[in-house]
Amino acid sequence: MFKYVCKRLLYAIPVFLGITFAVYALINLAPGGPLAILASSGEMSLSDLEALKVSLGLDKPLIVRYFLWLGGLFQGDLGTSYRTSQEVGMMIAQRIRPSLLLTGTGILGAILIGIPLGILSAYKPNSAWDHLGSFVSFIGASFPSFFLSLLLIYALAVKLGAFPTSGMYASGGGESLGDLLHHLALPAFVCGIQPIGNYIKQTRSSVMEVLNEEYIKTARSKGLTNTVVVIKHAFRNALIPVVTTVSLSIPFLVGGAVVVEQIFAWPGIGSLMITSIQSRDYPVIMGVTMLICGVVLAANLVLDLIYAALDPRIQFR
Amino acid sequence: MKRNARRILTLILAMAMALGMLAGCGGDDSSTPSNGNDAQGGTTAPSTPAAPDSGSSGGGDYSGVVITYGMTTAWDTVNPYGSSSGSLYQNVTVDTLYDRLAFIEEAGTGVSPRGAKSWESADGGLSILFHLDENAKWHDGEPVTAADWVWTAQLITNPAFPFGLRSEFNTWAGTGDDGAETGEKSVGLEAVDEYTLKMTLKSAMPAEDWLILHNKYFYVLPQHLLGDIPVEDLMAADFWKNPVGSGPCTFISEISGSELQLGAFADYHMGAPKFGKLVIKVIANTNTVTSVAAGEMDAFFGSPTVDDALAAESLSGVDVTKSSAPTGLVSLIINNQNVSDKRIRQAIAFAVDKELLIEQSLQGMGVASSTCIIPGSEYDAGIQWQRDVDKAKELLAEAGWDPNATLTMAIGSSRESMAAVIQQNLAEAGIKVDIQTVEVATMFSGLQDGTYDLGISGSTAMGYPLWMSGYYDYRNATYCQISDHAYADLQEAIAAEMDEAKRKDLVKEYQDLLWDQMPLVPVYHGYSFSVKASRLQGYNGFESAQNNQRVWEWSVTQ
Repeated sequence: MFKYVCKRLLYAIPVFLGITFAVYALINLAPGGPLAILASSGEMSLSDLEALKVSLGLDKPLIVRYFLWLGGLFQGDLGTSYRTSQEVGMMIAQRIRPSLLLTGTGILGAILIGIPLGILSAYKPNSAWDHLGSFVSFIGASFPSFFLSLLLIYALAVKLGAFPTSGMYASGGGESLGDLLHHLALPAFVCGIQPIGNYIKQTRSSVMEVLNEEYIKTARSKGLTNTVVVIKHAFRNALIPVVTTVSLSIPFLVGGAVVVEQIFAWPGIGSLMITSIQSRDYPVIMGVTMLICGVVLAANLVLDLIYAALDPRIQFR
Repeated sequence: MKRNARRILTLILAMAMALGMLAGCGGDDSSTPSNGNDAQGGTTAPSTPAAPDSGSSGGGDYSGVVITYGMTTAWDTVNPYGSSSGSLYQNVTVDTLYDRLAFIEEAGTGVSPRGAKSWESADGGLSILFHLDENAKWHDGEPVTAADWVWTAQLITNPAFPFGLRSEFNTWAGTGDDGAETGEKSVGLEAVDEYTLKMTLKSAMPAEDWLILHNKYFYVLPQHLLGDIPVEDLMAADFWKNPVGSGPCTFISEISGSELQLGAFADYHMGAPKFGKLVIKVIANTNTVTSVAAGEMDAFFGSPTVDDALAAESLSGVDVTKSSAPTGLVSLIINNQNVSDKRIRQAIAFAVDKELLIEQSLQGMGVASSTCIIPGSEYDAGIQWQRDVDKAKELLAEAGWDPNATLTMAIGSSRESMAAVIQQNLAEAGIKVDIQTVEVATMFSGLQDGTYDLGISGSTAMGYPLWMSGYYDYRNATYCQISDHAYADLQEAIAAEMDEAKRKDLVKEYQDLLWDQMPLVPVYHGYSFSVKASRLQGYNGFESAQNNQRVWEWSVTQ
């Protein structure tokens, strides 16, 4: 297994380099550049613009800039933001925790509700649980997050005053856990409602498929209770596709929920990424890309290890 | 047994990797850095608003008062020289932390004391004497002196200091066209005494004009805290993580691009702010009025749409104010290289139905523009625009316009309906327009490099006649691709004219030139709106368009 992990890590290096170079090239090829934004007041002199170009290193060829960025990365330096003149590492560090909290809560909630509902839907097709599962899936799939966010803000925050409209803590509050949960509720709900449909449907179909297997009939004929049959035998064997579906949420977990973070003014990675793209802040875009890329590659490796743990037929090669 | 052991080991390894991954992503505690200012004199607000000494001078205890101010776009940095964007969001934010020489009134109609309590022109307008306020202090309690202002000027004109807007200061003696010093510390600022600053200019200019044009970028920095740091290291100095200024607010914490927490500076010489904490938050465009209505925001930067402002009037706990002058200028940018014949530019101006656009975009709350000068203002020469499609056609025929030619117009998504009207208007005159909806970076870039022929942009007009001079200056990275020196020459003559009557004549000449050459088409000057919570007092939402706000006069009624 150790050999397998090492091999996978080695494979990850060219993938990582390929992704980062592709992103670096694409953002540089996109129309508009950081200088256009920095000079957007329309009042910057041509001499200032030229000096800025040199001081930001934008006068160098793209390939040279990429390798300079890569060299900095290997020394633990993600560079300095064009827009804020701050260290990119610090900017990302400030944003990663709120993002993990928001998307993590949303996904956790979706797992805790979606998977049991999927099992119940599979166990009792056409029951009230099955209908509830279908309804929740339908809502999750059909409501765009920006619309749902605005709807919830209007109904629950503005009209009822039950929740805050935005932010992570109340201004001047003590940043207590209660305050955090109060602010977290609406955006986390919006983040959770979309994946929940996938989890319900995936769990339902996987469990239903397994319930028709011969070994389930054997288990039942041995006199095992329905709960034991479903949870211990059926669900466990149905887990692999469910784990795959959940794992697809990992980039979302780290990359943040762009739209939701924007609307709820949540200080996460998603809103940082959007601001950076709008201002063509290449070092920050690359920093966030590198983070997401690294996490996704690592998560894929972890996922393969989990597959092997769940299914003894899977061997490391 | 062996197989079970292998599975357990695999699971443990997978969990360890997952945990390690999340822990690695967790970052440090830098999201809410503690305020080192507390140890620098005890004059700043602590990180919690209920502290007894915060903002308590001036006859009341305001330590528990929190004012929340929203922005739809983030400031760049708390380093006033760390950004080159010239963004209003940036300037308004750093204005709370650092002092400037003067305060610019709403619509740029006047200048009032701030860092300097008075000023006077000397040497026939070639220099300005600023009498600094002796009560001004840094947040650490040290006095702000003329030496600090001189040191700051020397710093920002030093080529080793990578400040992107240095040419803003090329009016100072001892600097080149790029604003950089011509010799070591050659910049024309000197401390006459501890509280008198002498600024020498290259050419004569009224003091108020200099302040209106350039004061917005000149923030004083503490020499006693920064003077020993090598200039080339200053941008990256730790100082900016917990800066000390001499403005009305002290720094508490920042989540870059999201939230800035400021305390009240009890010793601020213009008066201690009447709050314990000012929180500046970035909020979504869609949430501005709703946040005020929900009681979570006291005010926000910028003007809401007319529709939102009118809707907000019916909400309880919300005050809506209309600006006294139509200062919101919307212009149709023309690439003067691609559309080099002035008759075609004039034809565009006559073909666009400005009145219809005012009705459509502002529900009639605007005035059709002839030049960038605010209609009805002191310097308005009274040039009247009237739509005349026939005249537009004549001009196009004279210019030999090819009716099969197409102009490309870049717009942001918020201007789509306006662009459609303009497209239809110009088609009536015989000009085909291809509209390209692009995001803002693409639009700015394309206008600057000449990719697009037309574009739509918005700006905030000032009473000062040269407020838009940068757009017409051939030395700038303008959107209009200006190469004609005539605008800059006349602008310089206006700026240098000390006699008010003669200046008005020059400004009339300037407006005639703009009207004749039509380097861009000013579409309309619109009224803007300010929305705030009823509890917030002393707030003028229109001051922010001049890059400053009197936050020290803000207070709340409970």
